[in-house]
Amino acid sequence: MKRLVFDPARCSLCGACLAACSAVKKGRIDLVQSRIRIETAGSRKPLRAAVCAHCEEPACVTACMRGIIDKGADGLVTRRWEECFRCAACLVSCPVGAVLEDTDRKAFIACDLCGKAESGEDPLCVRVCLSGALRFEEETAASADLRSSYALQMFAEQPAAPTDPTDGQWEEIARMIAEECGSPVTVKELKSAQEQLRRDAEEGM
Amino acid sequence: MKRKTDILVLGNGAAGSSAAFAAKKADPSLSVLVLSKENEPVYSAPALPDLLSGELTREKVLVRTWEEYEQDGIEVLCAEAAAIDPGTRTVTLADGDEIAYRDLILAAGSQPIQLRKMQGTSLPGNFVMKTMADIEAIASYSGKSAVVVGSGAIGIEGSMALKARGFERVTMVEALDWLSPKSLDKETSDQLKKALESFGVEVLTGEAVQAVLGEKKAEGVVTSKRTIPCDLVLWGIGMRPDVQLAMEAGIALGETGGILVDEFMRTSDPHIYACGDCAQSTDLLTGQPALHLFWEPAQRGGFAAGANAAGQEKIFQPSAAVFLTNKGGLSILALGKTEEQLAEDPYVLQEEKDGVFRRLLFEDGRLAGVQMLGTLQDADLFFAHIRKNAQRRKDAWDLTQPVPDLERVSVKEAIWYLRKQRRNAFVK
Ligand SMILES: Cc1cc2nc3c(=O)[nH]c(=O)nc-3n(C[C@H](O)[C@H](O)[C@H](O)COP(=O)(O)OP(=O)(O)OC[C@H]3O[C@@H](n4cnc5c(N)ncnc54)[C@H](O)[C@@H]3O)c2cc1C
Ligand code: SF4
Repeated sequence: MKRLVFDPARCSLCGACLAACSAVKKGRIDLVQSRIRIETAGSRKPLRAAVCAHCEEPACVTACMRGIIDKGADGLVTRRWEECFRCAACLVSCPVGAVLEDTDRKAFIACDLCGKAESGEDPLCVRVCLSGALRFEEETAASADLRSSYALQMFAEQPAAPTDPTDGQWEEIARMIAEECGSPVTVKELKSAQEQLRRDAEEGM
Repeated sequence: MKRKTDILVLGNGAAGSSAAFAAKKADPSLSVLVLSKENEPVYSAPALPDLLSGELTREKVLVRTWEEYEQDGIEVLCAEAAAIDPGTRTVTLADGDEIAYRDLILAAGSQPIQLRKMQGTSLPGNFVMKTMADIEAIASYSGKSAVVVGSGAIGIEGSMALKARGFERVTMVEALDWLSPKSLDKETSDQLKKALESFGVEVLTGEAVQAVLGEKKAEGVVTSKRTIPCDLVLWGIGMRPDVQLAMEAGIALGETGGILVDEFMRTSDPHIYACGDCAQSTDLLTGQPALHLFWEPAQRGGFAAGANAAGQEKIFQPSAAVFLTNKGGLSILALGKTEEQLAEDPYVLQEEKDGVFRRLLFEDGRLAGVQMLGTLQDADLFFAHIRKNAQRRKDAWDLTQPVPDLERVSVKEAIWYLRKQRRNAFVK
């Protein structure tokens, strides 16, 4: 099964993946509701991505106090989120920090790979990441090993200077998101999301 | 007539039901029979306060439906076990019927501690919160004021639930000096007290309940300092493992009073396994025997016990005590050591801002504990550090280096540092 892999050395913190995720899942650009988070620590330097790793032995499955999280035979970890009573045990037990509260659904949720696990097609978040920091890849033996013992992903490979999308690329990103969501998204919205993300990275918790 | 089954599971809580489903999954050819002295399929005990408050309905508390048992071919008998005979591998039910097993999985859970000798505690109006039936009993009892005894998770969640249910007056009484002292420091307790009061719960600490007043029903509570009139008393003074039948059958108990099991959940009898609240576990942080009466180890232990009893080897890894409540607008999380437990060179960083309280406890510059209110952010980060520090593992992921200049950093900066440290642990 393919998984999301993140290379912080290539990430310019443009925020396109977060914008795309919230646009797809929430119908609006709302960074805190994105199911992928880029962890930072007082600067624009990305440290890692927090996104569900669909663990081999998922801590969330045994922690869930209503038994509504399952590990399928296909490898996907799924949630019957309508039944969630928000005990937060999955959030607290997840070693990746991949779980968040969906404020509209009133449930704890995590990345479901947008149904692309089977076909292996790139989900929107990967398509809008033009720098190649976020990828959808078949796991290697090493990453499987890493994931099952401690579900952090992503390793820097060849260091490449992270670059921001050009104006033309921003247009392209906006078009891709709009096409997937069926509602218009402007470059202005995307850029203001980027600014907020960077402010939070530098000043926020 | 004597019934026969390959796997007999005694108990249908988180542990017992998980064990039954896991056993059947591991080897579908085995017959699996579950005994339960309750009449519901497995339900979420941690969701019971929401049932009490009215937030959830009965259906929304269930973990599995009877149909799911049936689909998987698991039989359930709603009957109480009265004795175990390991010699003949037989369990005798309260009505005298006998069931012969190949392997038995003990998952009888725990029982609320009750002070039966104290005056007035057997009067109507005294309640505990352990089962669905307990909640239904409280719900059908009329009252407007309640005293909740104890300030652990049950006391806290019970008080909030009664208030949300519409009780006019709810008073929580804790005999010790502050709330949940096993998990929280005084400073955190002070914050929690403020939060509880903002929800309308009165909080009294350092006051032991000495008697329940009333002739025909509970009418009040006498503490070491005052008399509190009330219609209902909810006891939340702790749970203890239910090991009665195991003990009578000569099965070895551990030093904590839970049933002694190895990492495959085997007891001292080769055909008997145990899991959940009734079994002793190993603390992930201290490596010491512990009683972790929590949902996660019960469910995970059940999966392991079921698989092992069905002949598939599965190791049960140590568990951690996680103090967590996230209900009705109140969230509390405590992990690792309290201040009192800190060893070398203790240091505490604390901050309260915009309804968020964080208390980070360091020993020797390394994170050893955390207590927070109003946020669950970075739980994964804290847990990773606390765990590594406790284990002091000098491996490639060593996260145990100290945070420099603890005296000079803010909580935010300390968290930034911990994040970078975790990240660096992954880059060679
Ligand atoms: C109100 C409440 C809130 C909680 N909140 C949390 C929380 O927030 N987080 C957390 O981690 N944990 C919480 N817990 C604890 C958690 O629910 C337990 O650790 C877990 O349910 C234990 O599961 P178990 O299957 O081992 O035991 P139990 O749930 O006690 O189940 C034991 C089962 O065995 C049956 N049984 C016992 N004796 C017999 C017999 N002789 N014959 C037949 N059947 C028998 C019982 O009827 C029961 O079905 C809470 C518990 C309660 C009561
Ligand atoms: S990454 Fe977290 S949410 Fe995803 S399967 Fe693992 S424990 Fe569960």
